[in-house]
Parts: sequence; C-alpha cells; structure tokens
Amino acid sequence: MKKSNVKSELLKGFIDTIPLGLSASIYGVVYGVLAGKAGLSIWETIAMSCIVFAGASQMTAVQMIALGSSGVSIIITVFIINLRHFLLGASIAPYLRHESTGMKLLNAFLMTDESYAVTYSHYQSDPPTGKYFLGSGINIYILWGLSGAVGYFFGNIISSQLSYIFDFAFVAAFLGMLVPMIKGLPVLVAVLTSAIVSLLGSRFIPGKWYIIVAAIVASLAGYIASELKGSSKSEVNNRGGVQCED
Amino acid sequence: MRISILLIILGAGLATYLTRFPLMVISGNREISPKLAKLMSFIAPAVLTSLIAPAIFLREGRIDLSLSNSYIIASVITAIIAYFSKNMLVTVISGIASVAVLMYIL
Repeated sequence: MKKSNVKSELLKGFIDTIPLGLSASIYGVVYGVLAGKAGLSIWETIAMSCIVFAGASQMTAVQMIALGSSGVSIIITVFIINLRHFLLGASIAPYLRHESTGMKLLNAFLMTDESYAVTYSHYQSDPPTGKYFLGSGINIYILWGLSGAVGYFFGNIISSQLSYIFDFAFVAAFLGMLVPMIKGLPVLVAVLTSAIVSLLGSRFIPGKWYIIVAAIVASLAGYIASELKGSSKSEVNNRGGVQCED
Repeated sequence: MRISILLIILGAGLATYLTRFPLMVISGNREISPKLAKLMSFIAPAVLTSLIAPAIFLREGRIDLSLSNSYIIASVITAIIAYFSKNMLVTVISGIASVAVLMYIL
C-alpha cells in the first residue's frame, strides 16, 4: 500500500500543511503590519520574508529596526532566537540520510516549526521522503510571503492615525507569541528576569545591547531555575523543540 | 530598497540559515545534549520579553507604573486573552481594542 510516487509526495506534503500554513499566515499578516509601522518599504518587507523566512525573528528584527538598533545587534539577536533550529534539524536529519546534499540544503532553508511538525509526524507512519518535507516547506514559504504583503497594505490603511493605540499592536503580537510559551515556573523565571534586566539595561547599557544581555541572562536564569526544580520531568518537555512559534 | 536595510536582511538571513543547515547535513543520528536543549528553550521567551518590557513600562525613558500608562492594564488584559484564546489574531485585535477603550476611560 505504501507507494511513494515522487510527484504525489510533494503535493501531499503541500496539502497536509495547509491548516498550519493558514495559522502561520495570521502571524504573517501581523509581521507585515509591524514591518510597515517600522518604516520598511513593501519590497523590504517581502525581501525579509523571502530571505530570512522565520516569524519571531522577523518581528524582532523589524521592531529593532524601528528602535534604531545597530545592524550587528539585530543580526546577533536573530541568530540566538534561531538557535532552536538546531534542535529541529537534529531531530529530523536521521530520516533524511538517504537524500542528496542538495535536497538536504533546500529542506534546511525551508524548515520552520510548522513544516517540521507536519513532516515529523508524517514520518512516524509513512516512508520518509525529502519531497514531502519540501512540499510542506513550499506551502509555508508561499503563504508566509503573501500574508506579509497583505499585512503591510492592511497596516498602511489602519495605522496612519491614532499611532499610540496601534503602537500597541506590536506589544499584543509579542504577548500572543510569548504567553503560550510560558508552560512552567522556569520559563516564568526567565520572562521576569528578562523584563527586569531589559528595563534596567535600556537605561544603563549603551545602544540596544540590553536586548542581547537580557536574553542571555534570562535564559541562564530559566535554566538554573529548572535545574533547581529538579530535572526528570522538564527534560521531556524540552525535546523536539516544537513548543515555540516560528 | 535602502542598502542598510538590505544588509540587515541579508545578515539576518545568513544567521538564520546558519542555524538551519548544519545539523541537517552533518548529523546522522546525533542528539543535542539535553542540557543545551533546555538552555535553548528559554531563549525565545527571553528575547520576546526584552523587547516588550521597555515598550510597556517606559515612558520617555522613565519607568512609569502609574495608572495613566494604559499599556500596563492593556497588557494584562491582552496576556489573559492570549492565554485562553491561544489565537494570534484574537489577541492582537482585543489588545488594540483594550488600549483604545482604556485611553477613553482614563
């Protein structure tokens, strides 16, 4: 019964990813709104979606551009946000050992939390193929790019006035990503530490480097909290790395 | 397209790809150490918080905990809605609506 036709695998991956693709589109629209508010042009907004192709990173990058952060600090911040991709890559690589390096490199570029989740669960019951992962990634890539452009134009219509109110869109969007990540006391410790360090740091640390300082200090605080709490239970939660939105 | 923005986009794209491809290509069945995986799981919430905390609490460079800072109450409302709805669109729209209402009331 398990016939793996090359073309249908690609299409299957694409179709299976539609539900998660649509939910990623909502993030895409919000990204587009934030990019427009940060002063990016439509082409810059689309170029970022096509080249960076990572949700939380892009929203962080445009917010840092709006704050006037240095390019170097933006790139470093994006890098550390994306470190969790190592987890996704390590977890799915064993299924793709038979694929060509080109296919692996392409799949790596298109890998998101969403396509990873759909593909990983597919591989548990069906023969793993690079084409399925590719179809899944292409789905997210197209919907992500389009929804960013839609958000950009939508944001231009609504946000020309009442800027104090619509500035809050960024806070609300980040709370929408952040709150579902708080799944235990250690994460809460990390969040509170980051809040305190970033508030103090934004006053006493030059430039926008407080973002990176707060991220590192708070991650260590969360880690220490989870070690103190005792390990066995929380380690299970951290496997797989699908818990944060991309 | 501004060259400075283009450089940021290219740099951020490269930084992102550097996290995506190495383990996909190199590792056969290697696992990341659980300790490192645990540490990494805190990074995203830490970064997101470091961006919004100053936006919520600072007004003209000073920490403003007064009631006139409507972002604080609106953030609490938005966080509660995010917790129960787990839906981005609902969260953003109700967040904006709560700021608008609070500005009108306060």
